[in-house]
Amino acid sequence: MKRAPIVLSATAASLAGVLAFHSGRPHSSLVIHPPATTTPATPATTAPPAAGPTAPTQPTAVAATRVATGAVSQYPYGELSVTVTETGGRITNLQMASLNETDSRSVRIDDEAIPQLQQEVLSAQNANIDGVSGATFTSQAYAQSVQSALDKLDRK
Amino acid sequence: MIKVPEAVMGTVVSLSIDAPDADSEKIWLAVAEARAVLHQADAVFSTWKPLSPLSRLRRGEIGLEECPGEVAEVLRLAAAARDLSGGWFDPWALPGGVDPTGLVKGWAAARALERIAAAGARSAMVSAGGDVGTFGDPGHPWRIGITGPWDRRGLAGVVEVEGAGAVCTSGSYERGAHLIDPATGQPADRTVSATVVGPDLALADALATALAVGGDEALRAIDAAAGYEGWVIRPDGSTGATAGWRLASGHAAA
Repeated sequence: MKRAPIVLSATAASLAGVLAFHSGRPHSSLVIHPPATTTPATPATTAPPAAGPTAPTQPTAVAATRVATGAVSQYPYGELSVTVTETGGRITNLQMASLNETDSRSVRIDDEAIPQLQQEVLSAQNANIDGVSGATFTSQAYAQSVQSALDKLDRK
Repeated sequence: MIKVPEAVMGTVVSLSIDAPDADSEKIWLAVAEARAVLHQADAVFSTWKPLSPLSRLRRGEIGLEECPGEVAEVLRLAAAARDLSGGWFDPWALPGGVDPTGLVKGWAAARALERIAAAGARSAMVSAGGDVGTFGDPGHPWRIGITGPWDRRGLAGVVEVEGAGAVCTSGSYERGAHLIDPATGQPADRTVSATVVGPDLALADALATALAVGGDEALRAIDAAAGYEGWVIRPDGSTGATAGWRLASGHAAA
């Protein structure tokens, strides 16, 4: 994966420990919908090919996209932070905002772990769960930063 | 849903609180108390802070009777966890003096959650670095995903908890073994993931540690512990579970 530039931030380590996908709406999670095959912002219409100025427009409102970067989260092998993109109440993208590992072994492990963690968050969302049990080191730091970003989005 | 993340005890403790009918002033007061409970636990039990009462107790500088009352309480719980786990969780077997760290996180998180419950919240969840405690009904059973050791494109499984309960997972897939087998003094390698579900967050935390270390032998001990169920994933990918273990989805129980 492409690395974001390393950011050495003095931000206090981490917020939030579990991926708690409750939204601000009581009795509903972020995540009831089946896996999206298209992003909500992409109109999936069967409209005929646009043939000039009369091309049909999409009347529905485009789902709001919001972005937040979580707090820098420290773990025994480095520190990281994650940027979360939410579209229409769903997490649609996760990117490393910063990643700084202490040694080359950690770099190798994280090269493998972090893409999986990104997928894990998206999968967890699709699993309609309230929380995640079991996180160590990188995954815990990752979850903390994601949760921190989610908290920012929810708190408006 | 109120969310309160608190960086404490070398991890993050996150509270999610649903309290539509409660006095919001009471809830926020309880949140402040919950945060204080967590930081107090850190101050008393940190093995990283050389002047914490636990650190001083470990060095033999003070006796148990000179420690805050919660030290004796936690050590009583630790002894109960040792018995329940058939000895696979044993804070007295580690080098460097008694170390109940394996359940302090769960114990403190449970106490924080109690404060929220007492303030009249309808439901709430606490997660202390992946150890999850719940109470109340969020409109459905609590669904807690279990981090997978290999199948990271999904979760290893999902368990459902009705009302109050705890789900704790101990695993070491990222960095190799980091738990020590008290029987051999060597890194534990019987499991890659161990999950315990039960009524008490502190005991479930300790039993998950025991299960990660002891594998199938610890599973038999947990099977005999009323109210607790366990599930392991072994290094060869096979799974084992107590008789009452139920996954809502994911791997079938072995």
